[in-house]
Amino acid sequence: MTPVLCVALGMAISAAVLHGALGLGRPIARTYLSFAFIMACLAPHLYFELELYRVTTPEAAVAAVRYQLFCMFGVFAGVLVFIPAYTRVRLPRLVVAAYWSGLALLFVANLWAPYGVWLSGPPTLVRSTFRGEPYTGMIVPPMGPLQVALVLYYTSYLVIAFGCAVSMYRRGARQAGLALAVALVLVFAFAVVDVVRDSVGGAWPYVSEFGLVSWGVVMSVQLAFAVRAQAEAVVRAVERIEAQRVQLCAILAALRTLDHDLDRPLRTLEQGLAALPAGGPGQGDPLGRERRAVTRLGELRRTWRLAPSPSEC
Amino acid sequence: MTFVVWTAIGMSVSTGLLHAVLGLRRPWHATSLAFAVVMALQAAWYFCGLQIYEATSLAAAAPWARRLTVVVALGMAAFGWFLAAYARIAIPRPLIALHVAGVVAMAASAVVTPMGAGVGAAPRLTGVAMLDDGVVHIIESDLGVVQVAFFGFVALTFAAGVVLGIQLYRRGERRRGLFLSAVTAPVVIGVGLDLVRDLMGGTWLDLSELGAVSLSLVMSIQLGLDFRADDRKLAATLAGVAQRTAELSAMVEAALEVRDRLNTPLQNLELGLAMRAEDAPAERATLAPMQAAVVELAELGRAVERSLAGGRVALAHPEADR
Repeated sequence: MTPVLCVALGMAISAAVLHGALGLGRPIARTYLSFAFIMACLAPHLYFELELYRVTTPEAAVAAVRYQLFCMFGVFAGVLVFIPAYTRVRLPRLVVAAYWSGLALLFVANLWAPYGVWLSGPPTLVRSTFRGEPYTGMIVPPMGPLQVALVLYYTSYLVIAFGCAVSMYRRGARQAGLALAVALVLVFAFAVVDVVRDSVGGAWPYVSEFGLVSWGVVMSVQLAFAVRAQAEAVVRAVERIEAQRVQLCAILAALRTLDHDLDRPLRTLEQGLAALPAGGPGQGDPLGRERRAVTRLGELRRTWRLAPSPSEC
Repeated sequence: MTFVVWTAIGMSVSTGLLHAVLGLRRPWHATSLAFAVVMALQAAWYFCGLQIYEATSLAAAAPWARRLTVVVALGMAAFGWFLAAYARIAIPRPLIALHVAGVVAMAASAVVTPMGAGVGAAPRLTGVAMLDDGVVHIIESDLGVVQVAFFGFVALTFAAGVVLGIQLYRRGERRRGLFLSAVTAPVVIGVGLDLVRDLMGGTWLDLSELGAVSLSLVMSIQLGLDFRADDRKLAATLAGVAQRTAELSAMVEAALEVRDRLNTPLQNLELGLAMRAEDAPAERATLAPMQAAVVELAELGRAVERSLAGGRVALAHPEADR
């Protein structure tokens, strides 16, 4: 168990570090920061799991499980921020408030209950081996009201997160929604194994942390994909707009060439009109319309010249 | 100790995986990709080291020592690639050739010697008691010139990182330079102390491993920050180019408007001059060049319209990829 848990611990630490760095850039990315927080809470959770396998007394086991649950509550809190930020699903305020309140109550209960929230009574310790490595197994007493409350909270929490993933999938973000849904199914499956273990008095190692680690790995890779996709989209947009700019510059260059060619015919018209005889007194100007037209063309010519020379081309 | 090394393996695997995902985009992000390869080889290095720690005989440890040498050789090659990509400095060809030669020689030593270039004459497996009451094994040997060259080559490769970091700092890329020097210096010190240990017959564990852990963590942070910074720069570039394109579009629109407003006066002139030519045949000599000028202006207007046809297409789909 030790190598697997240690590798998982290392993965959680590195994911926390990298996503923390990605999230702390400006503007601060809440999705990445909350995920980094989840991974940062998962790391000590795994550490206390290691401690649990080394304990020699029930009191030490109760303490290790209690600390583990505190870390787990940190994970829950992080997920409460992460899921809406990642899925962009707006949960009703009442639901969010209920979950935060439930989390606070569970936290206090874990602090005050004599055996914490996970255990209803003192556990029985048994020495076992897993692939040749000795470890301390824990047989827990039957679940009490607090334990049932925790299971219900956890399950409903997963259901809501799953609903957000489905909503994301339906909205068109298929890969991201599918990744979250698959990861949540893994978390649920591993958690069910632990509940079954405690219900039947099994002494095999707990596995729910591996569900969380799997979730962490899947989401971590998915978030990295998202960062990459965003960067690629920006690069594509820059290329596209750059191509448009080049095209527009070519057009403006052609227009500037035409600009030079406008002067000569305009001068010919002005000189021609000046050379033509005007009407006598009282006859009006028979070329008035033509003069106005040439004046108008001259004005347009000046408007054309007012256009600034683009420095970008 | 094995606890720490297994954790380090997890960190290297995860960091390598994430940076591979970040780097495998179009265009390739060479720094992230190179770092991912370094991390993968670092995980393999830790794993080979663990197998030696847990070996119970020299015969069992020997193949892992050889594999370790190959992994270190590949790691040095990958780290060289990473340094070049990260520092964006053109490295002189003779230096690259020397580095490649060193890597090849190191890898070849794993084939021609029983335990690779890192293990000298009279090798022996020594147990080292750990703080957690466990015992791990290390290979001790009498070091020769080859082993000193081996350690020297590794130390020099990481020392290049320190030097490049200082150059980056001087070039104005202060944070990037500082990070690079700060993560490579502990590895250089660790390798140096490992060499001293082997020369003095000490039995402490590889300190270079701890230096490598800090390298993976700190460089991961730096590359994450770099990635976001690049992203910000790209977004700023996008905004700038989009604004300039909008300005150019406005100019093309203005030209289009001028072209539209040319029509009425040109038609008036064309009609007026034609009527005048009929009414006053004596003035035809003066009117002819004027009529030619009107035709020329109308043709110029059409040329403007043809030029703008492409512009209209461009304006119809601005920032389609955003």
